[in-house]
Amino acid sequence: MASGITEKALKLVQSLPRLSLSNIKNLPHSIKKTKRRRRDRQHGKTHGRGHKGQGQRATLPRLGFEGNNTPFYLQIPKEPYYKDHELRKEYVPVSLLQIQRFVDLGRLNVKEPIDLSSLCNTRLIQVKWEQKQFGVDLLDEGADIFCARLNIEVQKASELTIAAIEKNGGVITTRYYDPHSLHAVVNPAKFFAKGVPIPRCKLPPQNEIAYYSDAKNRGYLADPEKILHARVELAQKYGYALFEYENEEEKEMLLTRKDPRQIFLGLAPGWVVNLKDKVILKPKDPEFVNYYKS
Amino acid sequence: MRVSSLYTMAASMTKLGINHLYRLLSLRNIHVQSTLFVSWPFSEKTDKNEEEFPSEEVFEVADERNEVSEEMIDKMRNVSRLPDRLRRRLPHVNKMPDSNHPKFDQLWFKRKMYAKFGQESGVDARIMWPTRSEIRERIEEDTILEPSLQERLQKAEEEKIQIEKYLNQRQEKIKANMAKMPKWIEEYKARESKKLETQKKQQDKKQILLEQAREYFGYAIDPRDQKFIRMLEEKEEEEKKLLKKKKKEKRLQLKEMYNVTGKQ
Repeated sequence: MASGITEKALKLVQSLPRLSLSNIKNLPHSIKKTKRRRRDRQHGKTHGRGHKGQGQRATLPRLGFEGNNTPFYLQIPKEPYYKDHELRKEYVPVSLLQIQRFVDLGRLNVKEPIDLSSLCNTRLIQVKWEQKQFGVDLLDEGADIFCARLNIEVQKASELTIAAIEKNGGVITTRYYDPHSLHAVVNPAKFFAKGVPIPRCKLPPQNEIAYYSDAKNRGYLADPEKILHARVELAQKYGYALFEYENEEEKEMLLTRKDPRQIFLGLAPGWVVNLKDKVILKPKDPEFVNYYKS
Repeated sequence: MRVSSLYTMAASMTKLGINHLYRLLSLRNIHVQSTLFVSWPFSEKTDKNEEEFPSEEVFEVADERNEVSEEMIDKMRNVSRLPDRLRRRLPHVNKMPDSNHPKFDQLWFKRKMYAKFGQESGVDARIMWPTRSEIRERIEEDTILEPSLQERLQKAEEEKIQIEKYLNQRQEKIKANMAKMPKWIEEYKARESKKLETQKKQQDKKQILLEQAREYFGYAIDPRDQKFIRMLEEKEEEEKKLLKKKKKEKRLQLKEMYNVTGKQ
């Protein structure tokens, strides 16, 4: 009976396991076995390679070669989105969610200003200066649940990120490190083991100067008064009240900023830090002092 | 072996050296560490048993040994068989390399040694900084390569102004062109209609020719057919001939007229 058969088939299908990656099989003959051209009796004198020429001598032309014609893969050579790729800067993405997590887990100390060194010292973020990475880009992911009050210094930040930090009473600054300084900042212990003076941070290049001198981006080269104005403006835009400092200590912590030429907080460029003797060596010669000061 | 006899033997062996003793004991298959530990009157444990082995001779030896014991023990502990220059590198040893080390000629290595061992390294701390001439060179380079912040800001502003200027110019150009747009559209439409007209004319002409050909051949002929093309050529020639004839006639007429007028 036809109806009985269909019912049986339906039942069978219902009882069978669902189709998944674990029970999929290749189609028959879909995998082709490569021809083995061994030096054995069955493969004759030429071993399946034929007489003379490119086949025998394994000097076949390169892939895509069309016999002196311009190959197809070179006929359409324009890839404008890769233009100047060798000059572009890369920033490691770090989200507010990640920062919040670091704070909650005690990986970041909120009672001290946070900069790239402290972010890298968590060992959870790696900035590779040799791969043209110039620091971190603070993303606005997790802006809704962000609730830490901190003084943070990053390389790039979006408007929403800035708003999320300032809403909680925090302070954010964007700042540029040249690759040489970044090398020191990313791993201070490794840098001090070299026994060289702390470098003087260079100013941002011409194409970055507009970003870092803009109060809207909280750039470190922007006018502080303009930054205060921008803070108020942003608070109005996103509809939150600006925070008032609870005590002097907190205020002091939140308002500490590095000098544009300084890369470690509390350490000036030109100083040599010796971790063995626990001493700091400072140059006295006016020529040296002037060079590292400027 | 009794402890006391071992002890006396140890005392007699001091002049030969503790290494010799060690070797001797190990050869005799005695558990060296434990026996030494128990029997050694100079270690802390045996201090309590002083009364058991009181002897002036022994104490003299003991004093001598106490001075070198640490070193000796260290030597005995060193079972790595590494040469000294390599052993110094081990993290638990962590000693300065010998000053004859070939890398000591290089500045970066001296700096590194200072960073690692501090003043113990004996490196002059002044070499950490670049020399005076190097600093001057750097300053000179910076004057060329590193413009001041003010200059950079000014340049950035200039660039910004230039971009704005360019965009404004573009906008103005777009406005001006948009004002002309209806006129251009009309012109375009006129051109298009003219084109269509000429096309239609040509098509009509072709149609007429095809109809003529149908009459001539008695069936609808393909315009690509050689017969049709030949017919067209013949027609053209005929037209040319007609034209020539007409020209000739005209010329003759003119001549006649001229002759008539000349006679007059």
